[in-house]
Amino acid sequence: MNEIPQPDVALQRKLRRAAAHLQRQGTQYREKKLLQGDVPIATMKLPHRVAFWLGLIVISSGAFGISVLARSDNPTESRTPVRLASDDALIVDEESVVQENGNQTGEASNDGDGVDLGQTDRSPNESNAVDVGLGQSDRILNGENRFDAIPVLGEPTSFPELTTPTTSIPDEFGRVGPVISEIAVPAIVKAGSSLTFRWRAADPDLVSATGVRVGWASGIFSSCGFGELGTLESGTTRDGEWSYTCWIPSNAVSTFYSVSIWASDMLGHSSDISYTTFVVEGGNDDTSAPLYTNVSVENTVSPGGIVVINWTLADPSGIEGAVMWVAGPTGFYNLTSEKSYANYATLVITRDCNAAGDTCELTQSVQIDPTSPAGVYTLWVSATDKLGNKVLEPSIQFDVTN
Amino acid sequence: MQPDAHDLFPESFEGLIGQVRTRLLPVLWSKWGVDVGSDICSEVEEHAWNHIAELMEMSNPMGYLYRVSQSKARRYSRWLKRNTFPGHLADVGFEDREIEESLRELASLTANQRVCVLLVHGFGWSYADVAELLDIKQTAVNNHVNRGLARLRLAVTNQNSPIVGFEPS
Repeated sequence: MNEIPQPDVALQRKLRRAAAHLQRQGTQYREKKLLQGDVPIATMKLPHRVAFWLGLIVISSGAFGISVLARSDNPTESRTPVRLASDDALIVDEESVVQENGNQTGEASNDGDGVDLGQTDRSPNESNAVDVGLGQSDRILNGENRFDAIPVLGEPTSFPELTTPTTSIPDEFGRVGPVISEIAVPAIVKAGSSLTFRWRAADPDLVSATGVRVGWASGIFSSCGFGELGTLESGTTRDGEWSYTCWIPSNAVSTFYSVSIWASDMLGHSSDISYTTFVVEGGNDDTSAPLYTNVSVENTVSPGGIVVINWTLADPSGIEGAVMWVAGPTGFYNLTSEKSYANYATLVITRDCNAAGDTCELTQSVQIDPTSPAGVYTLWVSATDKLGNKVLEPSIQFDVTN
Repeated sequence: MQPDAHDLFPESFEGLIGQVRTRLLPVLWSKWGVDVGSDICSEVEEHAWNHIAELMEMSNPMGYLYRVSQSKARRYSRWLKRNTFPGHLADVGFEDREIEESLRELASLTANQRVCVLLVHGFGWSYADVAELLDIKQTAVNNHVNRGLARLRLAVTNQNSPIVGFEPS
């Protein structure tokens, strides 16, 4: 046999992170498909199968009841959140309308044609109970909205959280991810030292993967892991203690970091706990993401054409990387053609930086995919400094004309 | 983490489905990307359900189901109907630039190289496990891994890496 090749440490680490990312994205994708009924029902466990069909029946009958009740002549009555007691199985009371981050999450309104559950502008991260329990049922039944994680443009300020779209699973489907507990994270960590996370994960269907994600307000801790896999220290995959150790570099940003522990079981159910924070001391004080200015589109463009974008980035810690993402009417992904609105295989970015390297003029060219329709598109700037502080937000709009 | 096959009750059909989701699914993600790979896995599970008796008598049902998955994959790749590996690129990009780079570099490998490299050095499988599931010799796995790593090292040092636009990390 030939000599077994060994990748260098950096490449090995990149491959492990890529694999963990695939695992996580794939699990989320399968959860969404399951909610839409695309995963073969026959392959579910028997109790899950029964629960699935019962859930569909209950939701179907409940949706009919709601549509009858919601046809009220009194608009104030119909907008009262949110007790539609048409059926005991479908009571949605104030407790079940989750208020996250102060966002309004579920109210029924009567537009004269039926029920508007008020989720047009909501992100997939918002409104667990109503969105999945009622609104999602419509999607299950009619097969619409295949990619809920893709944001719909309109009001940039209300654009949903893009980094880790999650789907809440209703209890009536009998789908519960691993139970994560006993999380141990040091409160304060010195820059230039190692940090060990410990937690316990238990699931009767066996834990297939579990790990940690670490981030701060404007960045992700790439050196410490984003979706990194933990190591089973003791116990079994049915109920065991896991750990993950990472190195905090000496130039890590001195700020609060949030720790999220995630786990998925062998049936694809996952859970994600944002549990605690820790503080890094003695690191770098730059907590700001690169500042972008002077964004402009150089040319008019049609579908299949090349759009040229110019912008300026500045950051005292130096610019690490940047790209402009093209978002169309349905987000970054064209649901009709099932392609991105821009063909990123054609992406070229050039830079012209000053001597200190803290200010750069950038020019990016990328092809608008030939299948993309004419219309107004938005450029989302994504830029990271040398420390990992990152910005991702909409910048300017431009027209794509035929 | 490599799945513990002994925990899966492989003598039962449920155990077999568990193995599909823990062993075959990473292969399909590595080869076809997250979305197409997941869809193919669902079709394989459906196929397994419809052929329970035959599968339970096979000596290497996972190898057989891998072949089934290759057949199921054909309709996803005809006429360039869907993006395959790594799936929705833009979804990946703003999570982590390094991961996005890694997936882009992995996408430049051949499918077999990508599968072997990811399974061995990403998911931590042994060469024997990869060879068994793909139904190829360990030397072939070794060759795929060797060539894949060589190409990845080239990509890492490519000064014109388009996404980075700056010094490659």
